[in-house]
Amino acid sequence: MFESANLDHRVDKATYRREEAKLREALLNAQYDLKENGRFPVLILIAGVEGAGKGETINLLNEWMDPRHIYTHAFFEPSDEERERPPQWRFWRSLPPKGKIGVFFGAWHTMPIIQRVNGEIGEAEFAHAIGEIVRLEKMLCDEGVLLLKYWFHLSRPQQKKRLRSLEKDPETRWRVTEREWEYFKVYKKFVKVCEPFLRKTSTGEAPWSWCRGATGVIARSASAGTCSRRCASGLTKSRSRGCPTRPRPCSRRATS
Amino acid sequence: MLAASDKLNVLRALPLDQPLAKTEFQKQLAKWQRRLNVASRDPRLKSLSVVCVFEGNDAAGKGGAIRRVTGALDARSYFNVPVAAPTEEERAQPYLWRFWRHIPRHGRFTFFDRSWYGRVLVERVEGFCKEADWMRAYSEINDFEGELLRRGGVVLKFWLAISKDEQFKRFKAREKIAFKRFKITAEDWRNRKRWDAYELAVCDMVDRTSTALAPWTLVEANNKYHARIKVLKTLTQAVEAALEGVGKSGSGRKAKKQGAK
Repeated sequence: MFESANLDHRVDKATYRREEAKLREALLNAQYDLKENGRFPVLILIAGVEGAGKGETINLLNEWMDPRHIYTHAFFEPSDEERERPPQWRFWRSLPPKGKIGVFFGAWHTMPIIQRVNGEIGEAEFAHAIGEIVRLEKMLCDEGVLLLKYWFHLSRPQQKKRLRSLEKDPETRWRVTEREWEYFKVYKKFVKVCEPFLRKTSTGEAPWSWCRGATGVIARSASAGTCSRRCASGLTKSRSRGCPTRPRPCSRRATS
Repeated sequence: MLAASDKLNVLRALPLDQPLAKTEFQKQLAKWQRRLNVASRDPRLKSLSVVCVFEGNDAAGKGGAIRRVTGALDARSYFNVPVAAPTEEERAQPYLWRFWRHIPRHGRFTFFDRSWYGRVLVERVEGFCKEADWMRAYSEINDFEGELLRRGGVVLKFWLAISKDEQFKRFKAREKIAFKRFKITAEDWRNRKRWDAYELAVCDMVDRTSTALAPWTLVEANNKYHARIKVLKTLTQAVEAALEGVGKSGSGRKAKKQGAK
């Protein structure tokens, strides 16, 4: 399942610079179109293995887009208020309204995956959680949400190398804690749990996109590229459903 | 989604006129309000939250029934949510968002005067949403309530049913009595014209959303006294049963286990 993400993709600096300019423009255009149009919200889920560049990518998305219309939520341990309500409550209160973009870092998939890896829940309960997620996401899509899901992947040797190099640099050392190494220890188990999870939650209305995050570069451009493209196609779709048309500034690039 | 050919349905099968005199009502009211109050002070309630839905015909007495329930409770422990047309902020979100924002934390009660069932009732009958949208709402609502039940939620759903004649009498009385006049609008008379369409929608709703853990309670409400006592009694008994379940087998134990994580 992670075969293509495991390939040793490379992009040289010149290509990256050229691509980056295009992508940034397309992404910004898509964001403004979305805001002007105001027909649906965009929800981006970011998940994957440790050290694959999830956080970096989110920071970059915030840098590239207009931060007034993008909300990022990271879901760590639930607060007391959240523990006293159904698990979905904290995601519902963070949903972006129409015309805005929400980024969820560690959304509803995190808990079941971690619990399954740690053996806290069995196969049956895990299957139940998957069913719930599929139904929740289908409902969001039926309600008009454009759901984009990105999985950042690294192979085990890649992850080891990445964590080592982050640890060496005093400026990035803070990123590698004991927790990252603990996750590294259960890498095989983690991937074994994630593989069927991703397969079953990758649905017609909300498929996962895989990116290899070793260098970060691929991951970023891949996510930005798909994001802007799908925003634009979502807008075209909602327009063809009969909402008023208005001229869009140079958004052709976004669909090409 | 078609009415049965013999016209029999869950609403028509209800004996709407139930006897209960005022003196007996007052005795019963005091008894059940006391029991509910005691239950609401139970320390085990700290791992439960109570969600009550009140739906019913116009003028069926939803507001009055809610007031008899909240009369038994500490004002700090409950919240009333009247559901009307969605606000601009709510319209910019998925349908269930405006109900999720009112879900109580543990130890609290929330009373919804009309609810998420609006989608399969008023929105269906008035054509505010497409058929595909209200059709998928049944399973979405079941999932939503299942989610509430998973974390120690107690979910009660009341349909207050009155006959068409009784509604006419109450509408006329509301028009006549000065302090009740605010309760009646042209919209009520307009809704009344769609009585049969609403009846069909209610029967479909009960068929498709009355689940084992969150069943509908149909309340015969031609007699207000009877309706209020039935609501109060059902709620009190459900809360008491849930309290008994805390720390024991079944959903209570599960709720505790999940809560500990």
